[in-house]
Amino acid sequence: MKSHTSKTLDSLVFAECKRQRDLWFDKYFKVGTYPLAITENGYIQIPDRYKKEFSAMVAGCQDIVSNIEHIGCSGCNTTIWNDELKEAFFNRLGGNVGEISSITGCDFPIGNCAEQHAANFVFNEIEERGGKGDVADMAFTRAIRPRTMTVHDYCLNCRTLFA
Amino acid sequence: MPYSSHYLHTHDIDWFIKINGKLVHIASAGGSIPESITTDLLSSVYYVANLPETNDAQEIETINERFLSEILGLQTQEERDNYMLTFKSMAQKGLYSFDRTNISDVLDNNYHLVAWPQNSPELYSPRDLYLESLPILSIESNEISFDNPKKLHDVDLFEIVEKGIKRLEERKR
Repeated sequence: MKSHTSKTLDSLVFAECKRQRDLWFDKYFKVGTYPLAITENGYIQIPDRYKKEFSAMVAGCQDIVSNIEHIGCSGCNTTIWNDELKEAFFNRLGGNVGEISSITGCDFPIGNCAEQHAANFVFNEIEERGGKGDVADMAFTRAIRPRTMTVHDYCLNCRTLFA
Repeated sequence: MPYSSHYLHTHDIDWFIKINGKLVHIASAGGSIPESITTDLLSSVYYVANLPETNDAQEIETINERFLSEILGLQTQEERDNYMLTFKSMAQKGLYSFDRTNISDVLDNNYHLVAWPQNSPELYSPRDLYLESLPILSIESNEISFDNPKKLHDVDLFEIVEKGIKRLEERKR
């Protein structure tokens, strides 16, 4: 799995982690700023701000051929997975999005990781420009946990998929 | 609100419980959360958010440096400060703040205490009355003691909480 060295993408990853930390402090330490609301049918409604959670991990991906880059968060709302990437999931991990890899046995279901979401954005953009992405051409920033800003190892699925 | 297993394993969720009278904050780091907790998680988040800070930063104790550098691999002071920031902030609200230790293993439910308040709130203070009214489950357990916080690592909080909730439900029947 290739490591990425672009300072721009690294700084985007840090900026996203910082944004999530700012939201967390906003949620827990701006007392009284976001009061409860009463809905028309009399229910107490807690403001949406309190529903924001940290992503478990944030990472950035760059296609070393086109230099297209994007960041991704674990659990981000990817509804449409790129066909090329789905094919790579199946061929290299032996499964589809949401399943446990039959090849690696990694506990994280396929399509969970920040790296895979970031790669999906990159694959889609390559396709929009008339090209085709290749998992072997993807390079990654370090994976950062936004709550603690700590660096973590890539999971076995990602290491196998993007080898 | 029920959370899907996909959501739980891709988010680092704050959850809360009272154990042996102590208000506890737990960072899930993509780990599992007992279902009884997630059903009313949002209310507990709202009430903790409105809990005032009762301890200054100087009144917060943190887990020893050796644990942070050896187990978590945090070498510099900046790394350690960054790591502890949200946990210390929770401790300033009077909570015992835990983190999941081995976040690369989704099935590992061992936690370590990161930060805790030096001063326990005064008995029968308005704050305690507020705490009594919190929509947060309260359990008793003899598997965990807050007498020596520095020893609180390798604690299977998920199992302790599940057992505590089970006992509560049995008592209600």
